Amino acid sequence: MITLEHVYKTYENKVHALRNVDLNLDPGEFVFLTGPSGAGKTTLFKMICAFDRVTSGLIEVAGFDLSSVTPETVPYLRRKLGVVYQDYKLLKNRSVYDNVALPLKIRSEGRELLDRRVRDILEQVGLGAKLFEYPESLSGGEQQRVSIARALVHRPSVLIADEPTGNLDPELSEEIMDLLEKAAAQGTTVFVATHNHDLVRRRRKRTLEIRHGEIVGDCR
Amino acid sequence: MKKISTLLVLGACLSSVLFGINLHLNLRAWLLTWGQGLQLTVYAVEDSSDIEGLKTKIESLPFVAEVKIVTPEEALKEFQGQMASLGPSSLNAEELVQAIPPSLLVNLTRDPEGPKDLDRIKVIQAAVSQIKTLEGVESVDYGQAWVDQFSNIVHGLSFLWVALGVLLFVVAGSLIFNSIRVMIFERKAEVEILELLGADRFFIQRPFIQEGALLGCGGAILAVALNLVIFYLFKLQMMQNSALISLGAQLKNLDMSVSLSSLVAGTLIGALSAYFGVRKINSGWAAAESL
Repeated sequence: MITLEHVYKTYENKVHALRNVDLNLDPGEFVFLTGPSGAGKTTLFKMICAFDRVTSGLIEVAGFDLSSVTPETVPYLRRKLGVVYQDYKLLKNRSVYDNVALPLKIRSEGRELLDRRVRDILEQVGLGAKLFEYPESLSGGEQQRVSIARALVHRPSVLIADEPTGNLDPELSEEIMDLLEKAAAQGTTVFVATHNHDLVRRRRKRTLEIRHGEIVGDCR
Repeated sequence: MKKISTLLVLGACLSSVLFGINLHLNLRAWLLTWGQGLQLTVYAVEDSSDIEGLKTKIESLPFVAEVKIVTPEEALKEFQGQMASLGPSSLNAEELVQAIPPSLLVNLTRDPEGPKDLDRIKVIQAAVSQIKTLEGVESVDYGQAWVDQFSNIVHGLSFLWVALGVLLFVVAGSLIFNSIRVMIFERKAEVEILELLGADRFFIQRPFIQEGALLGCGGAILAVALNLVIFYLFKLQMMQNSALISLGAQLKNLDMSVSLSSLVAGTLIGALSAYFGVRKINSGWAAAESL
């Protein structure tokens, strides 16, 4: 589902953000990505989500060869992805319901299916009672959960999550991880960046370690 | 507030265009009325002996409805009637009858299927040219100076309003264009998030184009309303002036089809200007810059 071969990303100031990254993630696989701040986790995610282009190498995500993807086809790739951002990226002028419904609206899904899926996923992340509240009236943890719900509502092929439990208490973090595992069990490839080593240890999943832009560990 | 001020300026622009169209249509209507009632006077050469023959030739021309011979005696009687108050005694001289040439009064057809408005004047001018070429015709009088001048004014105004209309449409379009650019700037974060979620260009552009179309439609509604108020105020002023009552009574406001067309035109201009404002909004990669 995700394949990287000899991927390099070098910025204009000759900073090598990624060096010779090779990896392969299968459909339905759940993988953690760990590493210190500045190691290249976010850069790697940006490349996979086609938010930036690689300097050299090959990336294939959900059947799209990112070296040849055009501005016209990029939206179709992104519709197959679900992304949880560190800063949530919620629309402040839209309700929780509308924020979560966006990926389905973009895919022109019918109103009935949209309504059912949105209510269902918000129930699963514990926000069933806050459908029509606005992001600014929610706590950081609640906004995080809205972001997770939005990433999962359209049942993406690949879920990329950058620190999805960073603002959540341990109990809620476990619930969210259960939800992500459930998505993986349904065939979504889940790729989670985290600093939370306890969480990684408890979940016993494949873990990649990145340092200075290189994958230095791959524990299965 | 910004939207309201844009709407007001837009309304004023489109209202000027509608006012121009209205003025132009009314001037044409006046010209048409004038052209319909126009009578030509054809003066025969002094020694013309075959006035009946000339009458027959003119009657055979297209657009000629009726020809009436006016003898010098009849002409003198008419002239005396008109000049009676100025010096009736000096107008009794028999020599005057000798000085007045025989003439013909020509009425042109009022064919409802025939040419209307400005073309009617062209028909009159063509008929006059044709009559002038006939043997035995000295001159043709139809108040040409006035008709030509009025016709030129209407033509000139038409051209001026078309030019001004195009200019005002461009102004209205650029107003909407700028308004949409400001909206995009204010909603940059929203556009980027939509991009990140996989929205295609059309999905992102659509709300802005809808906004532009609404602005254009709103401006056009305002313009139609403003034009209606201006029209009735203008008509009221004319009806209160005894010299202008007959013209005022003939004044007509824009009919429903023109008003509806202006709504459609306003909406289209709005949508089109907004489209030009947003057509480069989503490059597919732009959102990555802010990540």
